[in-house]
Amino acid sequence: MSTITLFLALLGIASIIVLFYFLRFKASSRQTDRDNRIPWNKIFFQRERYNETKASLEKKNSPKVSEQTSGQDDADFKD
Amino acid sequence: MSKHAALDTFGKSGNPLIRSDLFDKAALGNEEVTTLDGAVNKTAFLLALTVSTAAISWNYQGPMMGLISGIGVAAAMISAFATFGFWMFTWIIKPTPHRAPYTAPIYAAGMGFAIGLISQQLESQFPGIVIQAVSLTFFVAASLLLLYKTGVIRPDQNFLLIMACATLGIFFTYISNFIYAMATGSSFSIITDTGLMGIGFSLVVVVIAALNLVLDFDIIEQAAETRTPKYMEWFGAMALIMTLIWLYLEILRLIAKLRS
Repeated sequence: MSTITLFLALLGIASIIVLFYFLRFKASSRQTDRDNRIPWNKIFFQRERYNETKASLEKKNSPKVSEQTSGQDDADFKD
Repeated sequence: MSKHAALDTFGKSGNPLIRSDLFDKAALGNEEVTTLDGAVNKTAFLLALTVSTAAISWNYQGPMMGLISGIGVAAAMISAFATFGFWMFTWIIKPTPHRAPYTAPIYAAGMGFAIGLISQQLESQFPGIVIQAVSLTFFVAASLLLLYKTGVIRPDQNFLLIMACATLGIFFTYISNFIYAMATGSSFSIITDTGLMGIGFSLVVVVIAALNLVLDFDIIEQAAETRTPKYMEWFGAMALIMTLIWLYLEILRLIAKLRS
């Protein structure tokens, strides 16, 4: 094994350790606290968000029969 | 009178956080949402799977292994498209991250067979090339991770657009080369050429593949921050493994060109 290959092998082992160790840490606030981040949630959850919004709108627009209590009587209009 | 007189009188809470579904999601235990630890563990698992299948195809060469590698690559490609779709063109095939827990191991194992075969063939021509390529791949990945975590590289939508266009350009170049090779039996000289043009092309592809790692780190980071469902751990790990495999193959090709 040549010297450069041995050096690269050691570098590779150190890099693997660094990669898996630092991947567990949260990124700095310089990275996270900014407005121009990529909206991954919008990209990957577009369909889910559409379905959720549609379902909630349908629920909102449906007549609320269940909320009517049994004690309440219908209005009785007499001439 | 009811024990919850206030609720009966005024109805449910007006606090948007308490009313929204977000509250329910946040109230879930840590087992239910994506964490950085979970994504790292899954990445390690997928990497181990890739290395295991690569070791099998490295040790058992022959026409049967060639067939298995071909099936592996086909299964890996189908898995990748089934999970990611063409996320740059979401109107064609939509990304489906919830499939990642099933497709990620298939991708890792399938690509492992192909990597083992390619690596073994190149190692017999250029001894020591595999160790060099593996080391450089992880060195590049670790360096970019540190640059990302410290906020030196801050990906935004313009970065995403540039990377998407560049990656798609390379993808179509390889697809065109594949079709051309099937039809004529020879491939584009810019891809296989060992001259300055070929080395320059490989270098550009390595840089683009490396910068794609930044996007993968950002996917994992944001998935953990926004408490997305657990399957996003698999999705992030799969994205990272895909880019690492691509980067490894491109570095392997670049070193082979430099040494030939």
